[in-house]
Amino acid sequence: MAALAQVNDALIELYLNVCLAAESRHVKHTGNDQATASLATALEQICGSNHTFLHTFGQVDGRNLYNIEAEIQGQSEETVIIGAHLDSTAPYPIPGSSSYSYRPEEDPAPGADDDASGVAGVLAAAFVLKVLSQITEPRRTIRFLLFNAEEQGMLGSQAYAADLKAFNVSVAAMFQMDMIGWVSEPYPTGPFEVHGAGSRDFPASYGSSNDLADLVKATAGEVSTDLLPQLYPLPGKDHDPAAVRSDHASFHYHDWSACMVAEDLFPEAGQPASIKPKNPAYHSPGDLSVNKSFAADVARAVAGAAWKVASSDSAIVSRPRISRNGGPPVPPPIQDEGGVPMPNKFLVEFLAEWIRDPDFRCAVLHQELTKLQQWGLIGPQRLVLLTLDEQTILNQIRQEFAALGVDLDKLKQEISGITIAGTGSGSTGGVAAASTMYPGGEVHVRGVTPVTIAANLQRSIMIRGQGFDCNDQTEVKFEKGGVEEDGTVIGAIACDIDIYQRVTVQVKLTETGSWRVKARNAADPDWSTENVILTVT
Amino acid sequence: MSSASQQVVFLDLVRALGVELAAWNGERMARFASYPEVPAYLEELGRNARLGLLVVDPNLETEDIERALARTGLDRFIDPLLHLLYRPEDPNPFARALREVGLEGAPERAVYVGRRLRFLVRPRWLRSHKSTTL
Repeated sequence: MAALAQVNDALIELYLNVCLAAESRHVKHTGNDQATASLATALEQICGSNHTFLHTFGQVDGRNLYNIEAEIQGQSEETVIIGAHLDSTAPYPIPGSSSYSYRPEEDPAPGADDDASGVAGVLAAAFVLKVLSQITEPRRTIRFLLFNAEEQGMLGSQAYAADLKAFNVSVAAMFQMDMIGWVSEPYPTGPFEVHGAGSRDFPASYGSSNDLADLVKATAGEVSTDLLPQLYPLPGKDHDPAAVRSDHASFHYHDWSACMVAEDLFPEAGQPASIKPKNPAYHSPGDLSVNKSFAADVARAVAGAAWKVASSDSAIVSRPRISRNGGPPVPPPIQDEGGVPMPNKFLVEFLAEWIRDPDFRCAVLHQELTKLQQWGLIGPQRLVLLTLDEQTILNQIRQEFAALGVDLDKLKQEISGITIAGTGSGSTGGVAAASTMYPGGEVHVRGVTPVTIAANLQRSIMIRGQGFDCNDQTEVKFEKGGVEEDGTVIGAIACDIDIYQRVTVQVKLTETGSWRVKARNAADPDWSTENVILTVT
Repeated sequence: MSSASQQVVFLDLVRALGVELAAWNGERMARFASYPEVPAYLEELGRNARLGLLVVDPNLETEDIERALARTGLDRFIDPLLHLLYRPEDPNPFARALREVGLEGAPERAVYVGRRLRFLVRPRWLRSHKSTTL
């Protein structure tokens, strides 16, 4: 990974100049052909003529349009893609000048930031990953893609992704760099954005795309001391403002894991869009400069993350999973120990919820599609679930375990006191690995029933959460405006399923309003941090 | 010459029958691969219609096309008399193609399957999204 240091200002400048030689790269401008030729030559010099191709996908005004593809072969055909778009546009006047009517066939559209910066990043990544691959052959194949006609609606990438799908190519991960050349203040300051996927937009690739974004963020910290990665979707949001706005979306569309990196473009949480500073030369003839240090740092982070995926055996992004925002809470990821694959967590979690919660069963039986989409259930799983009876779900779970070669009996032995129901009797079974999932003794509060109680009355309430079973003693308290009231835990902790355990608590709250429910294990100094509210009326 | 009941399906080559990855040394169709399901479709389609190629491309040559067809085995489905190659400057390639098969007066008997020739169109799945690309 030390070789990543070769992605520096000078390398970015070198490739930036290749891209910026044409005065415009708009699809209607012949500069698009010129840039295609120059960039293909540059990629050919890195990856070799046998591994550099033009993907023909469309025509405009009698000229062919091409995506440029270059490849470093790995041990498997599973592919990691690093992309940017080579075309440009400039429909807006230079800031401060009067309005003008853009003629794409002849007017300049330099697109230095958008997206020559990303193109230079891809070429720099190709350069350095080629060096790394000569030392160690990557397990996965790496492709570098310069997409065309992104500004027309991602036409190049959607054609390319559709063709990959048609030939059954497996894409492990796709990293898009779109606009990585502008910072609001003299660098090194200012964040860059890492976009995964919103659960609302692309439920099937939501979890794994956000895993990719997490990976870029982690790698950024390893390859630069200056980068401030900012993850999207923002906490609590199920929509990514960059969804369907760059070529990574063409891969989301086919349920592949994809993320995009960009300069600081979108408002942060609570920030009005009107005051958000962004590149004033965006989509204008004035888009002429790139902060090369910033672009090099971002490209290095992407190259490093891509190399991690390409040189890894693990299926870290092979399955979408529910994570971070929007979906139901999930336990920490189960580590793949000793090469033993773990069962499909979707179905395990689904079953757990199904058994625990009659309302959920009812909702599913009424085909509450929105919820299913939020959970990211895909393809045959979703079909099964939409036509389910309980036995069908259980059978499906069993098949999932069997297909993964997991010894179900052994797994059951590890789950103390818990059985996997085979009869569909609803309340008698569950699937769990609670004690192994929460070795850290951390408690998470996920819900409370009822959600509303009357003031000044002693009430028993049931708190759902995770980690209650890691210690003999659980403490519960209620907090409102700095005032805290203890609850008394009564009865045994019911840890019958994996993601939700239950603890019954008696409490009397005198003040009306919203009380936050907190819990911890007695040996743990930290209280749970979730915002679960009990309303007192 | 066509019969009165003849139906013709004109097929584009690139992104209708397969994918072209052009070598950067200039040779077109150096790596053309047909989509996996295409032979079966053409076999079925060919039972009821005459199949021809209608390719509009600025720099493809007839030899490139024939090489691609031979390499992929698609030549057995396509009528060798209907390898029509026009340049983008041609004002109306469809009219010329209809004349070629004697269907000027019966365009309803001909179908073209391929890319738009004059302009680019956003894919359907994108059109419902209001946001523009970056």
